[in-house]
Amino acid sequence: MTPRAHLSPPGGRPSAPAPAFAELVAASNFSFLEGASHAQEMVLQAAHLGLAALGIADRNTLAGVVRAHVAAKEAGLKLLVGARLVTRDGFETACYPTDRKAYGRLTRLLTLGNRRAPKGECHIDLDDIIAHAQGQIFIVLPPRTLTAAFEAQLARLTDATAPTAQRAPPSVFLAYTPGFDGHERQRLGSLQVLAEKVRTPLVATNDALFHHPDRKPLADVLVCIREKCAIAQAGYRLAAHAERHLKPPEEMLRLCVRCPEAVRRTTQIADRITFSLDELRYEYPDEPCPPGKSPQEHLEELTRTHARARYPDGVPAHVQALIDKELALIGSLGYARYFLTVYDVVRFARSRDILCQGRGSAANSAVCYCLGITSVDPAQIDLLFERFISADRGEPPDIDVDFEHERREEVIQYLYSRYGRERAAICATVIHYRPKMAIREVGKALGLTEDVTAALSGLVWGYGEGAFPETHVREAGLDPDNPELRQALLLANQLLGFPRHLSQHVGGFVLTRERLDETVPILNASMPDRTNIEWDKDDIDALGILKVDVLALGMLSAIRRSLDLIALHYGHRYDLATVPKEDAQVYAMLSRADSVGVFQVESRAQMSMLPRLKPACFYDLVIEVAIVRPGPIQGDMVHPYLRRRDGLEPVSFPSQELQSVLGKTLGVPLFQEQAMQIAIVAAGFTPDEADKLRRAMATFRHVGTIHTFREKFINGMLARGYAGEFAERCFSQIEGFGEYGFPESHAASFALLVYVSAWIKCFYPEVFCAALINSQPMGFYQPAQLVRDAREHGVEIRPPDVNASDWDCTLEPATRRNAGGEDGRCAVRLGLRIVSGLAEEATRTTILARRDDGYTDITGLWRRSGASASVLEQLADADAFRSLGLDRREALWAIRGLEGGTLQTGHKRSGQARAPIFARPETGDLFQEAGVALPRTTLGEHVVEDYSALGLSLKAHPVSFFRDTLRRQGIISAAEHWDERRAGRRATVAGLVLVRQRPGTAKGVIFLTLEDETGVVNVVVWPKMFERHRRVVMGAHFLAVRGKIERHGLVIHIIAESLTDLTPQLSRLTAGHEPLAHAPKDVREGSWHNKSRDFH
Amino acid sequence: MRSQAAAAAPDDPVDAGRPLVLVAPGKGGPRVASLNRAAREGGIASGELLSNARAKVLDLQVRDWDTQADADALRRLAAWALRYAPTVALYDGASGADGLFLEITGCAHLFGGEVAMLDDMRARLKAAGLAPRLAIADTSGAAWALSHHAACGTIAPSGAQAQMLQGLPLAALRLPAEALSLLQRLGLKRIGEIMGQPRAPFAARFEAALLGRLDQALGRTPEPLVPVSPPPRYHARASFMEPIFSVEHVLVAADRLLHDVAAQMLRDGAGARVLQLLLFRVQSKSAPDDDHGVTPLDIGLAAPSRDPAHITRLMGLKLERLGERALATDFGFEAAALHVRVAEPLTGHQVALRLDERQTDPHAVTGLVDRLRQRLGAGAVRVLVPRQSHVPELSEAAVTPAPALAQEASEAWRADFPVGPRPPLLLPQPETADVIALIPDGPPRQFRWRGVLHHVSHASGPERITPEWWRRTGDRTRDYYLVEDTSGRRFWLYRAGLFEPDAPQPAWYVHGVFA
Repeated sequence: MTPRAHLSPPGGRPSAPAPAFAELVAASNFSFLEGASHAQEMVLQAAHLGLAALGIADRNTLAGVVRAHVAAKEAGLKLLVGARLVTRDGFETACYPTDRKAYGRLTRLLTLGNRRAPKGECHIDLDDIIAHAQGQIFIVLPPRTLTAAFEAQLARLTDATAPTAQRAPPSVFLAYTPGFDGHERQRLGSLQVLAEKVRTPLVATNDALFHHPDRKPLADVLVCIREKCAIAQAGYRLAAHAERHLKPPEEMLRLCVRCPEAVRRTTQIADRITFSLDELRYEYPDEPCPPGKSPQEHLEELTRTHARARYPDGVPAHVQALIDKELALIGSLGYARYFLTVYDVVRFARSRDILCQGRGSAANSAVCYCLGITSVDPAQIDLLFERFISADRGEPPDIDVDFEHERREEVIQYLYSRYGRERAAICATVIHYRPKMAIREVGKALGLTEDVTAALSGLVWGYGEGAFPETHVREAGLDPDNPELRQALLLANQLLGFPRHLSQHVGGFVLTRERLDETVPILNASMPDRTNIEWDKDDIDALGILKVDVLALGMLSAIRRSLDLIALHYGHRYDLATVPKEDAQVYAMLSRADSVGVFQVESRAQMSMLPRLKPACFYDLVIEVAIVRPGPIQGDMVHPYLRRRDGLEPVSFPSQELQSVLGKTLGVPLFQEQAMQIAIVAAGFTPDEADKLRRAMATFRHVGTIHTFREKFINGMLARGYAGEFAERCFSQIEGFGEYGFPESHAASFALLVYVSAWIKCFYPEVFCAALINSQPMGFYQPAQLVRDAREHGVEIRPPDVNASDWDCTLEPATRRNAGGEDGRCAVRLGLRIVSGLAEEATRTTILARRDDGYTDITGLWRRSGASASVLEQLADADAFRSLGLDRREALWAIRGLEGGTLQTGHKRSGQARAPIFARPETGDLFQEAGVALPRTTLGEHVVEDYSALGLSLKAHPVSFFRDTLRRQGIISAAEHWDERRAGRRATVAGLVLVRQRPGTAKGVIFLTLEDETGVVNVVVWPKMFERHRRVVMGAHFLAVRGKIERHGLVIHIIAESLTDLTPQLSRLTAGHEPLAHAPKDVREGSWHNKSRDFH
Repeated sequence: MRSQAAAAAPDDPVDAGRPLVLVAPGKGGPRVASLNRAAREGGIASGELLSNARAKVLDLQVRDWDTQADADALRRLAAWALRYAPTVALYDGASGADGLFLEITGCAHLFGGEVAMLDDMRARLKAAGLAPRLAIADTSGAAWALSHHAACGTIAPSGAQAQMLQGLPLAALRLPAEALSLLQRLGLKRIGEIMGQPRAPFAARFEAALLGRLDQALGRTPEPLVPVSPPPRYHARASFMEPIFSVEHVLVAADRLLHDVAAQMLRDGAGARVLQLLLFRVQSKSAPDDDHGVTPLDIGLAAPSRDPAHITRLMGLKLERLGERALATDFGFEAAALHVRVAEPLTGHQVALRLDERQTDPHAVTGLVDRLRQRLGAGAVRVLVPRQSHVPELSEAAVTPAPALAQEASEAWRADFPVGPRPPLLLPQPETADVIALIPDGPPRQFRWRGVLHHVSHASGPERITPEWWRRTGDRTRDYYLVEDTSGRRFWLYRAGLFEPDAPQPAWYVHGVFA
């Protein structure tokens, strides 16, 4: 019996069959820099061409299959899930598991290859493939020219997997790809000979790299990116033609007229593969539930116990009702294990005194409050729980947990140790081509000059939309009609949203009951001791797999430190839930925009909103957090809300049905889920469609589908009788929500942190200042501003000193003569951590060696602490030897003299510091050195040096040295410009540029923050002014601005009319040397959004 | 050592119109490595991130910093500077690698003194579009300091280093960044502030570099220079009253210089093997030259010789061969120098020149090419080199051999190029043919080309080749077929265009013939 006979259909030959073909070897763009189409495009095209099935096999990965799976389900196409296995010696075969077990073997094979290779590579050999071959179907891809080595490999694979049963069909096939290379017949002939010899039947395939031949240019560009060459130099690395695309069955049959059976076989193979990703059933881990108890029972019991602790005076009736309702819902959906898993993580954190706070759709439930997952009291805010766990969507609940940023790793390692690396891993984040990167890479490939690509990529600011609009191109002084440019832009647009590589998600943990590596391949993360899976959170969601987000939040560290300091110095112990609630002083402070350092509401945009919103209760904070976001701003919802709040406009609802959706927010949609509800209630979307819409907005992947959503949305609303203008605004808002929108539950969790941090700032400003500096880097302000703000609130700040400072900022009892410190208030001693560049470890050693008596001279310090010269010098630069009677220069000179001539400058220093050759410390006193006259340090120089070593100076403000000169020039101080009588008038102010900001929502407006010795000035630079004064705006460190003072309540801006760069003046402080080595903080468009916490 | 003259190459590129920066990769992205005045006026500073620079200046011109080109330019400038002194040294890294030291001891008088020499230097450099910073001092260190931190053209009176350096910033000592920053942190700014201080405390706190540099600048310790080209074994120099133009005059001058060096060689019993005649052109103000006005003429001898007549004759032959362009100059030559680079004892025998036919020396080909080109004219000799392109007519190029042989040595014809069979003769232009073939992609059954009808007996193909889309030629995808007609002749035909809906009818062409 010839092998071919196996494959005859059992029922004999069908008469005149319609041609049928399944493409078995197609790559998506998850074959990085090879595949030139999205999986979705492949699927849609395959369905369009009428293919019987499509096999997506990316190079040693399954990273793209979920997308393909989702798209195929929608398109009603049969998808074969597999991977193209490429061994280290270049043997290539597509591999399709026929069932769930075989799929597990494939993921384990890929995991094996990933884990033993460096990140981004996968090392597998033919032996590995053979070891995992059971249940797989292989389509082997022959090399261009057949070799003996290949034949041997093919034979090995075929023999190793040869079916034991006589009539069983083979599992290894040899791919025949029409090559259009002029040798078609010879090639087919030799493949047929080989196929006969090795008994691997031929199957026809296009080995498709793209869905449509139009993608050939993009495929060529990908080759160039991969090979790091320009297109003109790419030569034979490019394909000669565009034939590697999907083709319809008739065409395949025509091309394979000499081997029609190779076409027929494709569908037979496809029929044998029954595995679908839908079979991946997620099961929650058992651990958190003690044996013998059902998870639901256990959860109910825990909730009951903890509720009593939360409400010592008895659980309020309506909360109890809420708990019962929630538990019933959790029970009916079977989510108890999930809640228990999250509870387990939180319990661990609590046991280690790690502050944490849950957020997410299910987090703000009464159950979560009782379990301590969140501290937002359900009695304080009524969030509808069931709105977030939607029974019909069948999606798991979503709880993200924020932890102190410095201690999250402990939590992560706990998860690994509790569930094992086989069962716990972090999600991937797919890094996509964004506009900047896309145009840069395409430009490089097409040989555009660095100049042009930089100009083009410069057009794209931050979190942009997908396209490169023509107007922008013109703006950059480029001609959008230039064919070369058009081509580049077209290709860059195609490249947008292509995956570049997999990265690790910030904290999305997937935990499974069975081996995770039989569900999805695991790979090494770039961080040591980390592994992540190949799928991102959308993939996980799409398959209904559940994850817990373990995120880091700097403010939690600051709050924990604050609460510790309060306990230590003032004897009161608080936690997130026990900080006194609804304190009027806190709201009064926030309403004054006195919010430097306060979580979320410290940015300039928030600060200008606070006095307008005048928050007076917790829910106001929830709104405050949500309203200054791109969504409501883009949707132009902010002003209507404020007007209604101020009673300037009646509260009305666009319709009766929307009243329930928008009731709490005065008829104005502010939260993400409100926008989604509008889509459902007012535009006729199904919940599923609304969710798709949200996802479409969040990624670039669906760039093409947005306009269809838009049409549907607007038309839906118009059809239901809404005003077109309102519909447009709602849609813009959804667009703005995309990645940065805030659902109400997230806002509520954040609002609690706003309140707690504001409360600390209000009642313990010195604690707040110390804790924030100790938690750096975080937040919007640098230590200099935090210190200034604390001083303005009457806190005494003391300079860093080797004898007084710890690494962290500490609190010291106030001295009596300190006027600012009221009754028993502590002063802040700056920690040595604010000294730039100082190594923590070495500094701590120095501090430890200090002992109680302290240091009295540098030699003693050096001898006792063993501190390296570089540490000592950094301390000298920070002027931290004052308690030894030395200023920075004297200290530096002394340190340099310590080790005599043996010590060299530069990097050699530290290594030699303790060399035994130094007898000098002992004999040093006997050695009389010739005196050297060092120039005296002026106050101005000290201030400059302070700024470069600490980023701030307590001695004086640099601008104060120029005050007289400035006054003579008619320049007023920041304090003077606050004077109400100046509102609406013109004035000139001057100061150091603290922050330059170009928010994406402000259409090219630049916001500058200047600082002088009396305070800060907010400057608005309109785009036209900016263009005229570009150099000054972007380059100046010390700036004078003339303009009109605008005052809205407590918010004061100067609208710049002329700008003068005073930077050169600064060098006068140091008599002609280094100007201030302190650069302003540049906040580019979009980047401050990234700073603030967004959910992932 | 009497005097050192330092000429710093300017920061400013020649064209100072619009803001221009040169960028090099740096931390956080490309950084400004060099910039012109317009860019500096725009607020850009050296070392800044390019993205910041762009934010400040909208119409910024950006080029990659070509360090090699800089180094080459500096070397050319060094060759030019040989007209002033035989020992010219490039700045090393510590000195900035962007200027030259000239050892002008005993040379200044040839130009009418130091002031006149600097004036001459400045005038010529300016004419070449450069913005020089010049200074003369007893030591390299002092000359460097003055050229960088004092007015251009400062001349330190002999022995007055200390006084001249006093007020200059410490950076003028070419100190490592580390030492400089330490000095600044100690509040020390000017050289004078450490000159008078006790040495021991400084020696204890600083690397040897600090005091070493100070000592070098003050002439307390020597600073050896590494000349660009080893000083010639023998050299002679002559300036002309009137510029000379013609070959005859050049040869007369060469003869005179040869007599000068011959006398020196005779004294040593030596003969020249390698000589160089340097002709210094009168520079044109309008068109600065790449080579800074030096025309070198190299002569190699098979055996040492100090016979002026013989060597002059060789020079004559060489000039004849090079033709008129070798001495092309607008304003003539104003000076010449003769350097004997390699000299040997004058004892050897003349070896007969003989071309061995069996030799496998690769240079033989070059020699042959050279001779053919002398005879047939430059451009008449071409060589085919491969270009990696799927499009047949673009896959090879005929280039002039000499540069091509050197430059494209790596570009060789390789058997593993992924291309189908290619005909030995590719027609200069594809020629249309009337073809009967099966639609859509069957091979030709018969075709009429140049009026002759061919019946196809065998065919293979198609080999499909898409045009190079980035050239935007509007070409269509081609299907190539190798066919043999009934009389055994083989042709290479292609159909331009595929049969697609809405596409124009494809057309057929003959593109080549096989033997």
